Amino acid sequence: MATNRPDGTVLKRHVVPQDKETVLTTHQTPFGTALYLYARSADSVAAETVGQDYITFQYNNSNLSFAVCDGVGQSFMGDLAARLLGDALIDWLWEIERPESDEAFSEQVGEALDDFTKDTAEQVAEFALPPELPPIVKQALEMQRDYGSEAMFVAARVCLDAAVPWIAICWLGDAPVAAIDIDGRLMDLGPKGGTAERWNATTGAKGTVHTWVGDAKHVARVAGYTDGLGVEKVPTDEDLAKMMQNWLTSPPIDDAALFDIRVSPSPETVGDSDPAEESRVIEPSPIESVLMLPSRASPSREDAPSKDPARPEDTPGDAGDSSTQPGVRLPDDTRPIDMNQLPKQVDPVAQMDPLPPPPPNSPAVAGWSPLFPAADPLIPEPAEMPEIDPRVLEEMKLSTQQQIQLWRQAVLEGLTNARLAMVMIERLLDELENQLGDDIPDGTA
Amino acid sequence: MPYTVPATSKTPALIIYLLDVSGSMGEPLGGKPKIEVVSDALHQVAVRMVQRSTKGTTVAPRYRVAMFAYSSQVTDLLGGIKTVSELAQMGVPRLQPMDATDTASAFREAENLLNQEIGNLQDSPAPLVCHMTDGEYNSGGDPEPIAKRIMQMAVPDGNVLIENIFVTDKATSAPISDPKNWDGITDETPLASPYAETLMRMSSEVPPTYASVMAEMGYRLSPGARMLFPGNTPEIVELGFAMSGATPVSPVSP
Repeated sequence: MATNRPDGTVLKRHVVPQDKETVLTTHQTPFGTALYLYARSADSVAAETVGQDYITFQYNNSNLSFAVCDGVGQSFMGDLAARLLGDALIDWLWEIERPESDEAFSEQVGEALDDFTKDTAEQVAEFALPPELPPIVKQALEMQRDYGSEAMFVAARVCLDAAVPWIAICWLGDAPVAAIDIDGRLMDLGPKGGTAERWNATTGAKGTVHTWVGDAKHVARVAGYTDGLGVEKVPTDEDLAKMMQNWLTSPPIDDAALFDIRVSPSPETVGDSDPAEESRVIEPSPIESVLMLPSRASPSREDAPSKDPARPEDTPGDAGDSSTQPGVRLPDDTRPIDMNQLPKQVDPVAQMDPLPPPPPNSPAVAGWSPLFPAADPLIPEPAEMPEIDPRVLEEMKLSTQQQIQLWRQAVLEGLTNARLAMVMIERLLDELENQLGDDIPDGTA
Repeated sequence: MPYTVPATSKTPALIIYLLDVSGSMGEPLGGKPKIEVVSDALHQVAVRMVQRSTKGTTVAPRYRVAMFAYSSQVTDLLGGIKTVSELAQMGVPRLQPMDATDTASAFREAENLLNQEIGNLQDSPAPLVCHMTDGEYNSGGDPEPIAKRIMQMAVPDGNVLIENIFVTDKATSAPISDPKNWDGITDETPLASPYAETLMRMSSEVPPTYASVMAEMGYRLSPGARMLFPGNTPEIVELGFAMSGATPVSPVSP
């Protein structure tokens, strides 16, 4: 969704849907490439219900804020807390000035988290459960409502139009991980929080918020992801490629969400290919031929076209003529991707299974009583989900060809590696082939 | 470390309830018939299992439950093992008292069921048998040898656990005044009836992981406490049933 701000800038806001899988997707911003993925747990997929993780982000020409939230499973409707928190966080982060220190930022975020509850407590109290839920489930959920709706998070603000560009990252809980690629080193920011750390939509922050504040100079990547990714260390592109392939056959056990903004190339982020992979790319596949990639497509930090915002003298063209650097090509700004799409209705409400027939009679059973009466006048009607503007979702739904183009572009800019791009492009080409049969347009495959 | 495998959809916990519905269960306990107290406690543990299994409005099948009521005969209340999701749809049966007390037959049913299931539970938490009674058997013979055999059955997570809820005021010399501050029964605790001692021998030690979950609910059982809950108050019955649903549901750090 694009909004014209009073200061004349255009703010684009995105929400990744919770009710379906979003494969690793690229999104071009004016200052870098964002990657995100969202996968529901096998349980959520089987039950046709929403995931408990939530990703949202917004950006303009030189600023970005994002939040990756992980709803706490045994709290009341963890997916609700994740949405409420994510939306509030990216708005709040958008307005802040550069924090004076990590400690000051931690205190600020803590106060904001408490402040959010002025609105969110009421939304939790008024959230209507689906009327068709079995009485025991209703009772369990009402007990959870008394406890509250909770989520953990990792969120960040990237500000590149300040005199000294800066980044501020915050996180809370043991599930989300904040990661950064700085000075050529890829690392998670740790310490990983404890299980008791979380945000309660009724009572506010539990525990102290972890933070990192610093100059954006030499930062190549900022990422936030949930533990559903099942990775021991910050995933490189190699790791992401393997993950996407594994998930084709075996979905993740837990909900998994990742948001990842790349503002400059980095070998650390791209990751090492395994030897088998190296030998395979000696004979280029048709896709590699199209991309004109060498065996290691990602340029080193030194020879890559720098997009480091802290180096304003660098422009995409400064890295030299692509003809003198085989395999390294520059982004093609003459072919901007139009992301405006027609709106489409999206219904994230889960369906419920019908009630089974009553249990068999038994001489030891006097009756089956669910304790709560069948019709509970206290429970208001239908399931109420915070409204998501369909345009937001549709705007993100790029055509398959546009997605292929974005993956190409990310590789050519050195922001991701060839293997990951190939995995994703192969997948998209399959999709395109299914859509068009043999009629794939020239230049696509 | 045993008893650390979490109950998940892929590795659900199996819990088998053996519920005494003999005639004496019609006697009062805390102002209402014992059988009603048990029905209510059973309902509470079902709600707790659902709570521990929900993501949003979805109930993940983290638990599998079988329920046998016994008097002079054994009745399969659920018609086989049901997942907690199915149990949530069905509701929990309200019981009524019948006649005699054939405890051994009930344990035999549990043993048979475990023999059928144990091969499929190698990646799951150790199964738990929760037995509730208000008095000694008067038909069918001694259940202890069968219980001992069951306690020898094992999966990699640990041996099968047996828990006993003994609804009586004759088990301990002094009543348990405050279940939340009760240490539990250990090998040193004097018991006031021979059948309480039999049930003690038929009760597993509370695994530390279960004790942690119980601590989150406000109960503090001492290390080495047995899964034996003797008492004549609804609170003890509730505590006993709460224990039966205390399988960890998230990974336990070593």
